[in-house]
Amino acid sequence: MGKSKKQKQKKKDFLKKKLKVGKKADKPSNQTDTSFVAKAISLKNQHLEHETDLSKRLTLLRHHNITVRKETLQDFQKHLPEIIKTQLMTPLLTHAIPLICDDSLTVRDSLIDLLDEVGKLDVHVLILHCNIFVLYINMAMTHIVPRIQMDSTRFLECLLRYCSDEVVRQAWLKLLNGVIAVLGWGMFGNNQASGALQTKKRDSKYTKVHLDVLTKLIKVGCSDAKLMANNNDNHNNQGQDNQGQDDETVNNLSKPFMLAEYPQPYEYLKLFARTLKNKKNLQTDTLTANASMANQDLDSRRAIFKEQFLKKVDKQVDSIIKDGGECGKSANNLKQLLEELF
Amino acid sequence: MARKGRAAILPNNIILLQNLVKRDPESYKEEFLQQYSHYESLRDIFMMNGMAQSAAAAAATTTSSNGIPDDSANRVETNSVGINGNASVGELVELIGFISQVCSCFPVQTANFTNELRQLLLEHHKTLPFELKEKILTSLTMLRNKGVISAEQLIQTLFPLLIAYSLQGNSLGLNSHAKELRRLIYNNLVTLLKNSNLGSKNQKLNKSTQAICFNLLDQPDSQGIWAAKLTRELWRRGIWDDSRTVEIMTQAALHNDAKIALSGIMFFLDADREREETFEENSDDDDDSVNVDALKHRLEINKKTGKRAKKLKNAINTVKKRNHTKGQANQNFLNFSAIHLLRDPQGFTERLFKEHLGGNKRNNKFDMEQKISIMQLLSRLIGTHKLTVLGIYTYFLKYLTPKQTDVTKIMAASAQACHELVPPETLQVLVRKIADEFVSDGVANEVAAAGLNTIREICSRAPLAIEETLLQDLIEYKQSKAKGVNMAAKSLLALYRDIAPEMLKRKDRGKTATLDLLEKQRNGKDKSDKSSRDVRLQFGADHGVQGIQGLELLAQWKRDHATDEQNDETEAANWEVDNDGNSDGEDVDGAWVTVESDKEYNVASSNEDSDLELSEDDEDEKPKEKLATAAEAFQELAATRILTPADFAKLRELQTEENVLQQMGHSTRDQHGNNRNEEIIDAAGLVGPVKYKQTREERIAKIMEGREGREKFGSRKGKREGGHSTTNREKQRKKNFVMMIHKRSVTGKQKMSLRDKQKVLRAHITKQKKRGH
Repeated sequence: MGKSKKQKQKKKDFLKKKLKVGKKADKPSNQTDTSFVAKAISLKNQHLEHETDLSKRLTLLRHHNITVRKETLQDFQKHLPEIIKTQLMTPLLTHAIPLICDDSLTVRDSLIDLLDEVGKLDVHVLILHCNIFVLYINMAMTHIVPRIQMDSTRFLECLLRYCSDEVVRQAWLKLLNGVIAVLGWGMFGNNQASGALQTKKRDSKYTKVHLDVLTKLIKVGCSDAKLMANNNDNHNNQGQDNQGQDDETVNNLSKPFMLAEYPQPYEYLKLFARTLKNKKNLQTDTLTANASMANQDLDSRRAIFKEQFLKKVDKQVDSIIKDGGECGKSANNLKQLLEELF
Repeated sequence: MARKGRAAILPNNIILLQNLVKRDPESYKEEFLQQYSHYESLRDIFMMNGMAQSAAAAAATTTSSNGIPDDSANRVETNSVGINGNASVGELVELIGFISQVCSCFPVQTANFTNELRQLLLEHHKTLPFELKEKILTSLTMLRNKGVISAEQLIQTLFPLLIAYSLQGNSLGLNSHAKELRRLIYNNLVTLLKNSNLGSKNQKLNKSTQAICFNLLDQPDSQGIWAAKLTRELWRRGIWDDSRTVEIMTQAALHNDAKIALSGIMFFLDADREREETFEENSDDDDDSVNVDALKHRLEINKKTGKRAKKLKNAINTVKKRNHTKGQANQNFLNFSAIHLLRDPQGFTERLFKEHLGGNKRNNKFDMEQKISIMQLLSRLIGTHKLTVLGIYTYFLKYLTPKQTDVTKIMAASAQACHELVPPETLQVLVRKIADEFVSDGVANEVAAAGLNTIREICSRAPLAIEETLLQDLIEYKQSKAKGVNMAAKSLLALYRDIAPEMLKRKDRGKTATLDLLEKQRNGKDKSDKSSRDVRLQFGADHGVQGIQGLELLAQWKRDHATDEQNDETEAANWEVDNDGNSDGEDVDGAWVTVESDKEYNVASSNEDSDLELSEDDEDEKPKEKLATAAEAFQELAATRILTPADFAKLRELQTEENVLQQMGHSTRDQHGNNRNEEIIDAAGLVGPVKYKQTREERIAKIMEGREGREKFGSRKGKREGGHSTTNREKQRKKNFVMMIHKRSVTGKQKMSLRDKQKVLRAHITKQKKRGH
């Protein structure tokens, strides 16, 4: 009569469960329990220090928002002491340097601060990236937006503070041209005096900065490099200086056979650079063609300056001294330097 | 406020500066130079980045390609390019545009500019971003339009780029936009060549470009495809139409690369049609031409303004220009097809056959469809130039089976390849094969029709290609029930009645052919064995054109009209072409001509009259008059006097008339046209009319088509003419039967006398008739 237990169980599988009001339906047999118990939950975005990998923030330097760019720069500045010796510096600088041409003043200001900090911490980092710097500063000097153009000299000033020797050797002529164009003394055309842009440039409050930079540039470029180097050494370590003085005679003899003191000593040969081949048919071209050669040593730098710029600079400086004021003071400094050198 | 001088405005964006510089270059020289040096520094940055990227790419390939995330050096390098990709590309693009716009104002300072652009493009094309490359290209084109650089220089820049971007390695690169660039460069090339050939042909440029094309095709790689493509495009537009161009395409057609070879082959097959289409399209454009008269009129009515006057001036200029160029085009464009312009057709055809279809194994680079194209081209060449490439006929044998795909195309090609200078033995094999494979009782009607039609096409080109017995066998198919086969056999019969009736059976020859044969026999009796040899067609007999075609018609016509109008017009009047066609008859040297014609005329008529009085007594005149033969007419007209343009116009008219007559069935013996070989055989036409069983939809559609525009049949009952409410009569009719059954009007009907019933019925019938039901 009655069926066995096993048979009843079998049958039960195929019976439909009746749903009842107020009672929960049975859970399916294949259900997996996903609940878990933990002692603590940590939310990553509520951490105080959530991102340690700074390299991921490099792209923020290209962010469209001004504040973001500025804050990223400041952030990097804050972290500089940690990362100054790491691989991160090259990408940081290659990302940051184009901001020289940034539209916003605040971004440029914080970039100057950052560069200043870098220079303070490790000069060699700046020296390594000098060529990119020069390119971008040069670009800024010819920028169509006046504010960017005006600020370009501040970057140059910053650069000169730390790696003046390298800068002058790489782009003496280029930078001189640029600064003079920024000052509005017209290196390019011949009717500069009438240009409205030029008169406006002369009036601007930036003239003092420009003049100071020009003074500094000429001083670095045309005075004795060895002397400058010694001065720098004096700053760094007094002790080694005496030794250096002693070895000088030896050095002079063996110098051509020693390793070069500065990076890329044979760059002017352009063995690894790809340049555009141009027809050289202009008289100005002859100058620019061997510019890289001319930049290399002190004598040629002086010669170029004397030949091309001295007269013009003298004339302009005189007129500014007459006007007096802050600018007059700087101009006076420049004049004194010129008299001293030439 | 006093107006500021232009120099006092300070430009702070490039567009504004461009405007100012264009208006007053001298004042803004300083600003321009500043921007120029800005461009130079930007360019330097780009070049530096380009080097960095290529170095990074090299590093990536050497070290690791799996992109480990902590390999930060690599990532950094690529990032550094990315910066400029966003920020300063736009700036540089803008600057390049600016400088190229205004550089004609400062030629001394920007002497190097164009050269730099070219070098940037040629040497750094792998690293520069797409927008920049595009801009440089358009700038270079603009500079060439301004005349700063020459067309040759531009072409020398564009061609290497085109090649560079079609290389595999470049086009697969990230963000290379190779396709867009190729299109851009290619379009630039075409427009450049078009513009430089606009007035008169710039032969120097054309030659140098063609030289580049030749060089491209000399190389074994697939870059030659661009040369082929460009040449085809320019041929289509009628810019290049000389034999040098065709020579390029022959080289392409013989190329080892299948793609290039095929493009060359398709050029010969299609290019002329394409060109005609293009010219037709161009001629259609005239509809929207500027209406100068209307504009002039409007200027008179409306208020005179400078703007309107300018508009009119512009319109007149465009019309003048268009007329000028149209005249030029017509003058320049000689309608030679590519096949006619070949320098060495025999050599080309032989090489094409040997290299692409010949026996060696590497020929399976072409698939069947492409092989058919090659066959078509070969046969067209052979047919047009009457070449001797005997290998091709045996080659066709392989493919001539009913199961072969696209066999009609192959059949058309094989027919096209026949001409009368091919030895009949070779063709007989071909015809025999077609007859065996296609024309038998066991095959479908379409197949048999296609076979017969092909044989007809072959025989119309080379009448000796078929043996007499085979021909007679095939003609038996004229009794076939299937329409296609029937028609095909009849057309074959008609062909041989025309060209060689003696090969037909006696009963098939037909009336005119029999008459001609009889006449010939009679002549043969007169002149013994000389003409009996003429009866049969012979291989290699000269069918060349002699004299002026259709001249006998003109002579005939002149003779007819000489009697009507003897008025002597001045000769000079006839030298102007008279399009009306009713030019007056020339005064022919009457006496001399009549003697000449009468001699022949008499002989013929006497013969005919004696034998065939029964059949044609009223048509007697016609055959007599026809007998003015070509040679005679040549003597009569061309030898005695110079034909005027009016004569030629008349001649053409007479020829068309004659052709129409032939078409209508008044067939004289067909001098099968000497450009018969150049006609293209339509492969679809070979099968003949095919009638398939229609589906229901097709049938319904056809029925509906027939019913269009007619009223529906059927009774008009219950249909109202105009809109009105129900009439009393209708109401009465619809009334309930039970209600009506006891009314007198109903019951009375039953009690009506037979006579009355009859009356009512009659009245009803007449009434109905009057209503028209």
